[in-house]
Amino acid sequence: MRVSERKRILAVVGVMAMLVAACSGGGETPSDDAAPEEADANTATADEETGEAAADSSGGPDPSDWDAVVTEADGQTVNWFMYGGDAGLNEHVTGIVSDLAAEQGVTVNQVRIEDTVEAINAVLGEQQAGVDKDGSVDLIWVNGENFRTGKQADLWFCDWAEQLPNAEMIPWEDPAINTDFGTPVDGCEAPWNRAQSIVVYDSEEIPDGFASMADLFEWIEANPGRFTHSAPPDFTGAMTVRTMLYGYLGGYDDLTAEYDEATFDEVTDGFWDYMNELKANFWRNGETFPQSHPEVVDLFANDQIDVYLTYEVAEVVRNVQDGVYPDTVRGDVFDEGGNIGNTNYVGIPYNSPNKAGAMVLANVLQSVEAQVDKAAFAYYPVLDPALTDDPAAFDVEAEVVPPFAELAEGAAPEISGAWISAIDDVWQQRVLQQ
Amino acid sequence: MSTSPSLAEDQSVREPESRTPARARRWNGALREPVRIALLLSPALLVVVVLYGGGVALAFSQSLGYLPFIGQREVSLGAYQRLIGDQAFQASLWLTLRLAITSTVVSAVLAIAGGMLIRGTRRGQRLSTFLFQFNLPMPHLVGAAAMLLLLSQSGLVSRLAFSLGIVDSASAFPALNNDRLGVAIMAEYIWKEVPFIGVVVLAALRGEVQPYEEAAQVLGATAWQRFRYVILPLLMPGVLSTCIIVFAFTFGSFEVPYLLGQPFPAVLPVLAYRQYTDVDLASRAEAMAISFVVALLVSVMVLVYLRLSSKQRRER
Amino acid sequence: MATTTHETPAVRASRRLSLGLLLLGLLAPLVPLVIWAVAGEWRYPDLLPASYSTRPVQFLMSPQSRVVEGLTNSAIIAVSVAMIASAIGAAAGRALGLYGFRGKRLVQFLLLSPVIVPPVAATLGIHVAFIRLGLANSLTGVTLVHLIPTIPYVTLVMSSVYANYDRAYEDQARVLGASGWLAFRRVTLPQIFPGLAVAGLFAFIISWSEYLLTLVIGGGRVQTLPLLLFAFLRGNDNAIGAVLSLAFIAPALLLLLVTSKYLSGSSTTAGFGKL
Repeated sequence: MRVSERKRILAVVGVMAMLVAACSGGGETPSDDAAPEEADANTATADEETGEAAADSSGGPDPSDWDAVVTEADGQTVNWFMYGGDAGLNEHVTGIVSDLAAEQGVTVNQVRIEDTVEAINAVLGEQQAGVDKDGSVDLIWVNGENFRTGKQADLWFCDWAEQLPNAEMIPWEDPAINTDFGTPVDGCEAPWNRAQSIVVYDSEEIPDGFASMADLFEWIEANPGRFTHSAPPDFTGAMTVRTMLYGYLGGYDDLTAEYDEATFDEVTDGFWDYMNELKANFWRNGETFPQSHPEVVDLFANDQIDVYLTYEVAEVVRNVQDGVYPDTVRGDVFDEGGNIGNTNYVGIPYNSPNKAGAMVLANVLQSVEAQVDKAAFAYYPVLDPALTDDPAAFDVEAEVVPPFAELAEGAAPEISGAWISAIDDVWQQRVLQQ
Repeated sequence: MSTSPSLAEDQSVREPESRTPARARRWNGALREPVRIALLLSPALLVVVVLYGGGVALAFSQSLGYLPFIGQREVSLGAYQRLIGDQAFQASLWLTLRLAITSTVVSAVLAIAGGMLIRGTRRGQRLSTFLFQFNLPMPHLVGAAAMLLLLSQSGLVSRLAFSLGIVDSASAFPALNNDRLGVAIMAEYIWKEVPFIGVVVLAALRGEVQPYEEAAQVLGATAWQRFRYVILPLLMPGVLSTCIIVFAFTFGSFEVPYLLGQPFPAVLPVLAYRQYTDVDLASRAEAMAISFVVALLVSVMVLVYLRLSSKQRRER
Repeated sequence: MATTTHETPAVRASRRLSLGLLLLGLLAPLVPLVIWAVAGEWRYPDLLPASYSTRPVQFLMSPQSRVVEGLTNSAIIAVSVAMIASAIGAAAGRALGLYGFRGKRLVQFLLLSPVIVPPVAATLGIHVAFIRLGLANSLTGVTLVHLIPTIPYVTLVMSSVYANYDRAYEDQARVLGASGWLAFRRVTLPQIFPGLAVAGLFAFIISWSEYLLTLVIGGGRVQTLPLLLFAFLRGNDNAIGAVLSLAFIAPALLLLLVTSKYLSGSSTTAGFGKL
């Protein structure tokens, strides 16, 4: 009896007993931090011993000697950190891009992340820890705020982008290419894709679409609960907030001034009050916002909202094709302009050990084959078709969404990263947390 | 052997080495016992003290802005001061506490109820026990996925409500994820932790509770009296110890609230992670401060609980 | 059982009903996972999918989904973790279960703290050191940090196994001239094996389910199943999330089958609290 009872008791509380016993030593047990302190010393010493002196790695392959770059790249694996939530681009990258790169001996390791910030942060972390060679990131899909942050922190390997062989077909004189959200590119990143924001709605319910942002504001007030956007700093949500700000101000001129807090407050103050009023008419009364853009897409697909803005034209085309959205869904820009357009780039971190491979990959991304491949899914080319051998290859049938030329006409530029950061932060404080 | 509520204590204070016969010790002669013990323990201690303890210590030192091997030597409490004044941090703290406490309490109540119900069934007891414990090994992330597909406004419950004519659109269905209360988060925790606490309850009910209950029955106690004055006190030590594990887990859990919760307020571990991945490196000190506060709060609460419970035991 | 003898049918019925409801509540959440896994088109408000499809399953097999890579990484990490943690934890468990020594409580306290105290601080804190040591973003680094939550657990189980362990056989083997290794293999191991197997399986599952440690230390470079699952769920790809969930729980179910025998017979429970 006693043995079996003992076993049973062990069954019940064996674990808990040890726990309680181990922890209830109370008095004699040295305080919680004693051990960690000791460990701290150990770890720190270990680090000091193994941490290599921060060597600067200004040297990198020289793109003007392209043959040398290609030779060096052969056999390299490029860790390309990119936003992983775009099914169409994932297919593009794992498909034709990987194949083209493989022809030159470069293996593409696509590292899907939720937000580009994660990649920037990884490089920053390495820089902070003194890892100036052999970093873990070779290429980042980047633009705007993240590019600016990286530039300020000297994270980028520079002076290569304009010297890629395929750069000849790229209109580098265009400010939409040579500046990124107002920050000069300076050869630190290479363009590979263009995005144009559109308003998405069902033409069955809203036959005429929206002439302007003001028109949309009116519609939101008249149709409570049927509009939302993801919470900034989510990329698409942040773009939606900026588009609304442009619409509220009647343009973006006031936002192009040099950033300082006083100017920012002066220009945007009324907007936040207006947003707080307007959001009562958003999905769930604006008490919360979707965490990510795919959630917004899901809400639209399930008929929980009627209108949203997206940076990804392809998502609308694909969802109509796949039957996720009704056939009557359309994407369009406002007649009076104000839809934001931008260029997507790839940048190479200064501590990448595979810079040659990364350059080869960037060049592949700009190739006609790759650009035509993705244009077919409504991801717009950075090449000027007129500079290519076969401009007609870029013409795509457009039913759900007007052709790119039409969309891009009168597109509004992105404003500078400093303004964008401030808008995201103040939105958190004055809209989300209210 | 005593079967009072201090079972746990009894079990642990048993000194196993007393059973080791003296003659056996001679065969370990090659190595003296202390050396042998040290050798056996050192790999585990190395991992826990260096990796875990070192990690916590590094988090603490970074929260003070002190990281000598990258040249940061100034120490400041700035990150903690900023947290105290930060509305977002306070909101997170209350949310985290509320979610952890509610989930733990509800799980414990349901686990005890479930244990009692299962004990009372005659037919199908084995099957119900198996089903009751089915969720035990499920990863939390899968639980979160299940809750998303079940409870969201376009989830299965909402579809069911629609087909029964209770709601006329997905939007009319109450928001249970990405909501103020954190219903889906709590549901996930409860879904997973009821079976966990239930294991302890069931084992106790089958074990040491029975003879005492029979005695109480002979003495004429009603079912409620037996439950209230015999079963519950016997269950409590095991259940409470398990609750500590559940509370600590839910307080520090990351992926479930990250997936099912609101962007604001977010639970402390999510807030810490967001600050950590902010491109502004100054936010890292705050991230470390938040995560250290999480570790500290849980440690303090566990220690207070252990103190109180051992004091209570002594008083009896 | 004694307690049920004088129950009226009404009481018994309500008891059955409550139990049924509770079990339903625990199991119902798994239903949409199973349906979504085979769903083709399933739009709101349809109660059941309009069509069924193997697309999600096929997608998972395609290289584009990266599932094969995630599965391989998860398996490599979890198997290594289970083996290392079992060896280290069994050694520590032997020390704690068989011997009494000064500072034993301190050691127990130290070894158990990772079970109780949330991992977020240690994870974020150790990251900078791992970056400097070149351990971040690698399978080695991730395997190493997965030892943190697993070793305490294996130690816990093994110390209770050793607390009930009879050393007489081992001693006898030595008296009869067996070498230390032979005695361990032929006498000790068979005795502790059931406990060790369960502990190792648990270590496997804990590592298999780990999210935050892999996310931070793996830095996105080490893709495991939980990370992939999270990404698909975030991307609101329900069908693929559901299929991946089912693939993800397969080893867990195996664990349940193996341990259900021991569930009330050994101290495995704490491990479940860590999952």
